[in-house]
Amino acid sequence: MILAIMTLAVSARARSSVAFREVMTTYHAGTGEDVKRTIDGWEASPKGWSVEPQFEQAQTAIFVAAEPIEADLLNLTMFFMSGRPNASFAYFSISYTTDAQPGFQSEWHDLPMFNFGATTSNLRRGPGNRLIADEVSYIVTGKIPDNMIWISARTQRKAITGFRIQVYPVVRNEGLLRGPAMSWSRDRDFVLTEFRVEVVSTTTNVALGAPVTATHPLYFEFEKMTADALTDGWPSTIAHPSEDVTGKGFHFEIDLGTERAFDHLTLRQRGDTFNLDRFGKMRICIYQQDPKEGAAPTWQVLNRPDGSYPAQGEADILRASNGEGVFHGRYLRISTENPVPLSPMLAEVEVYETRTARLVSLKADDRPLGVGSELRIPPGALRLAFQWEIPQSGKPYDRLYRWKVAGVNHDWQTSDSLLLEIPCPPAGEFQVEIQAAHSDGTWDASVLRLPFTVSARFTQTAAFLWLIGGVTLLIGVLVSRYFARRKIARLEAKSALSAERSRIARNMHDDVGARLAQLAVLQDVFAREHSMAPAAKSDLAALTAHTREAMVSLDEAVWTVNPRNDTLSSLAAFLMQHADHYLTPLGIACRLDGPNTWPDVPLRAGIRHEVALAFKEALQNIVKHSAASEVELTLRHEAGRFIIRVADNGCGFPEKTGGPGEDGLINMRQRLESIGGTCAWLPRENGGTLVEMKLPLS
Amino acid sequence: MNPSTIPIVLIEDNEPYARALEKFFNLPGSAIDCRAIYGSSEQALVEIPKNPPAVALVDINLPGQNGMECIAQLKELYPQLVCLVLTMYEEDHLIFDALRAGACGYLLKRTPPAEIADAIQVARDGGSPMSPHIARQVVGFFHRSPPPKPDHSLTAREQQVLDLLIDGKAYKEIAHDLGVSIDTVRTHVRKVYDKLHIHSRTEIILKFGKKGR
Repeated sequence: MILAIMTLAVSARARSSVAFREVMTTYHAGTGEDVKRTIDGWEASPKGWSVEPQFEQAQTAIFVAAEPIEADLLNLTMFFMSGRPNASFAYFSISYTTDAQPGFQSEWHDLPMFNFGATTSNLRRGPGNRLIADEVSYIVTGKIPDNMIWISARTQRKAITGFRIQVYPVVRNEGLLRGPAMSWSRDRDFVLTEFRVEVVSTTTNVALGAPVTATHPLYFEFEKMTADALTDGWPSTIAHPSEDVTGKGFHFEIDLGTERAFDHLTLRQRGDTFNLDRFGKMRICIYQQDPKEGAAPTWQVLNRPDGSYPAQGEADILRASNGEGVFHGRYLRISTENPVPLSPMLAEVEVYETRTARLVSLKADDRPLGVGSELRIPPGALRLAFQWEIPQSGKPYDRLYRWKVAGVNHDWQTSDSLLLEIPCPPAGEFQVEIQAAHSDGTWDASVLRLPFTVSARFTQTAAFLWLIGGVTLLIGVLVSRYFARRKIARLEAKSALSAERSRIARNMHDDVGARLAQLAVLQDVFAREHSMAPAAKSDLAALTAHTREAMVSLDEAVWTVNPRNDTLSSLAAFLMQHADHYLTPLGIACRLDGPNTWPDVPLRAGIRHEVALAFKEALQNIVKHSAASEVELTLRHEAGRFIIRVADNGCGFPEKTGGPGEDGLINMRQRLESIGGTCAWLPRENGGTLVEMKLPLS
Repeated sequence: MNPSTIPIVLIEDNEPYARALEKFFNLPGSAIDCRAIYGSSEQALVEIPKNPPAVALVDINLPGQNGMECIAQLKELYPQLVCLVLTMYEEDHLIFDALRAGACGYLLKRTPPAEIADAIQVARDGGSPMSPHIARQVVGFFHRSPPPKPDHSLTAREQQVLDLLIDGKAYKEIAHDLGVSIDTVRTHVRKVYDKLHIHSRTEIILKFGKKGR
């Protein structure tokens, strides 16, 4: 019954199988490949390790681990699933080694068995850590009695490199089968089909296996108590002084071997009901330096000063705040102020050092992110993967830590994987909190809190809304330009025209222009405030550029309709300004030649507009097709005509027909002709081109 | 605030644009510290004396007194204050008037804010940008209206610098052509501005002062 419960408890735990590198035997039947089947991961196979016909003497198999195994609780399982009835060990022992190269000559230690059992045989302890299976002579169930032997072992976190199975011959008493045998099967042989070792847990109790000394002799009844019962991991072994010792001056001392930051300290009461009152009034002192050399304690407490005690098998958990001083050190002394004889008495002292998780890496949808001072999640991430590390020794068996994201999870979630994958929360500021587990089921007092920011998607931001608003505005501008022109056409003959144009120009500039300017600035603010994917960044930059282009278009539209500009000097200024603004940023030097003052000649908006458009086209042609590095702009007012000469040092104009830019040339000519002017282009001596536009001023 | 940041104010009646610019200037790591936004010339003239900034960005088109007059009065009160025109309008006569009023440069609202920040630093450090067509107008102005005192007229060297500017040459090229350092070119330009200001400040106040009231 007890066995069944244990089996259930064990199988509920998350375990990891140990990989074996090699199997060595003193003898094996069949081939080396057959023997390797014992470590191939498959429980059942027709062959494995068997020893026929060597039944006269003990046989040994050594299993060499691929990596040293450090665990406090191991589960070993031997499968005998060849289909041959009762072909399992009759009499055997298991030992382990920590030698770097396990072999027959290594130093082997008895495996400290915590529990054991088998499915189709009755196992009991024999002398010298051996196990004996009761003799079976016939099959009663009708099922094939394939056996499975399991052993649970406490190994106190020693670095185990190999296991040794020794199988001893037995002598059968039954009729025809009388004689030496290695199993209780009819053919006397066993077939070990799989040897499996699983790490059930690695304690976070750093006192496990630590040396313990006592100042005075310990109690002696059938067998002398030993002080290391306090750190052997067995709650069933206890230690207390002998009757000759009167409390004062007696203490246990535990040396942890290295200085530790304590999270908590567990004092375990004995598991039976005898004299539980020896537990009360225990004084625990922690020392950083060796107290044998007179060091003062760094932390101490008088536990249960009222003489009370925990119930059988229960434990007291002490944390930093229970005592005074710094909860940190290497040596522990346990003494008593209890008048009850044979105090202090304990089953176990466990020390759990502070465990705090650390972030090793963070990925958003498989894209690694920096884990520096500030965690920023790019917009649009779907999943976050936090890779943690808990640098302290030990590994609780079923859960490594608990975590929550403040603002997302109300309750703690537990996890047994150091890789934590969560759905990415929506844009905002969050904090992931993580608290490491201890192997005794408690949570470490320290909590790692990591704030992180999930950036907004571009479409979730204020700037995006502004962009949408901006586009709407632009459409508004275009529509208003259209209506403005129609309105102008209607008012052409009226004296109100000038005032109306002025008003429209002013309004467009003040309202629409300022909005566009604001939009462009906010886009720049946004680009600096948020880290963005390169694609989003360049898209935003393009949008900002478009916004500024819209402002230029608006400027030109306003310039056109504003009656204040209905003069030749205004047109000349516009052309020079435009040439300078357009060409200089493109790396094309722009030399301007024109008079400082212009005669006061009125010029209709329509004429100005056509000239401006033709002029812009001329410059565009240069930029697109000429590869020029320099442009000379000459403006003249000669003989009642306005003359514009645009000369470049580029590669010349295209042939008369076809060729790039021809449409542009035709357009320029048509524009000038529509207002009574001319447009001509001539090759220059330096290979460049001269465009000459002439406009009669009436 | 970082002590090396440049304290500035905006004199701008379009609040959304001004707030956007303020936000940009006050981003972390900015070299500009935007202290205040004044919606009118009158407000600026009351508030600035309480805590004068190093640089003022002034819009031309303000309710009440316009930007030109605002600059003229501010320069009267604080000759050290650097005024830059920040305008929607690229209209020569307005810009030129602003320069005459005492501005030492002008910026268009469509200029990217990072460039505005650069221009503020250049202006604070004594730089005076002058484009070819502004140079042209400066020369035209001195031709049209001879200065009241001889030492307010342009020197031969200043005239030379302006001529080269009109030809579209950059400061560096001018420095090379004249065999002087680029700083000397800047100094000449600055002096031209100074003369322009002295020459025309009273005129500006008379010209625009009447309008706003």
